[in-house]
Amino acid sequence: MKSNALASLLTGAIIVCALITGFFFLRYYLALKELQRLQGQYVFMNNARNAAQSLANEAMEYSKRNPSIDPILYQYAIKERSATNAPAPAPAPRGGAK
Amino acid sequence: MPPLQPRHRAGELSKIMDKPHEQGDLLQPRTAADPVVAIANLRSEHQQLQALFVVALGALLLLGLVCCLFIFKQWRMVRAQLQEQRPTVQRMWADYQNSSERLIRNFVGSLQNFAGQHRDFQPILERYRDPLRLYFVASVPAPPGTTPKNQK
Repeated sequence: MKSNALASLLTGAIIVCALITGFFFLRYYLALKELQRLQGQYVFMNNARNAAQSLANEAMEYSKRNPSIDPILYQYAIKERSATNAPAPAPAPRGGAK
Repeated sequence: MPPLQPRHRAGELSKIMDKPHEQGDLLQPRTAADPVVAIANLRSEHQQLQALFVVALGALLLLGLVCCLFIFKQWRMVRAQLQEQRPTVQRMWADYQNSSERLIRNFVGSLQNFAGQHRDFQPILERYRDPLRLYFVASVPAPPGTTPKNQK
């Protein structure tokens, strides 16, 4: 009888332990999924930015051969306008300010 | 005295049964004693099995506790990592969607239009079709003034 009670107790403890483990496993799985989603977003952003940067660099290289792409590069501030295109700066006053 | 093993008992019985003239004398007292011995043996074996079962249950419980602890620690680690990364990535994602994504989309669109007019730029753009596939417009409308011959 003593052994039977002990066996029952152990069986109950095993069931409780399994339930708690299952609960933690579910929480762990959900947290891991969310972490993977966040990391996926981060990787996607980095990849897109890097690819866009590389594309901009190649467009810059291409602009050396074909300047007709320049308006696009100026529009997105990839290429700075040359000094001749830039507005002339205001002349400095002669003799200093009074 | 330790209980006889079943094989020994069977051997003894077969020896007894081999002697026909003594069979009546020998079998009579043994038939009364055998059930007692057999029950004692069964009880002993049952107790041993029960003890083994309890030990096995204890081992299983220990294993379950170790598994539970392991999963719990893993969960805490991932949760801490998540709490640390979630605000940063969410802020970055919001910034990206508000500024960079629109800029990249417009830039790629402009370059697609440009590549429609200048075919030598097409291979450069094509190299980025895969990483930037979300920002590529499916079909670029033909720019005015281009002939079908130029479009190919």
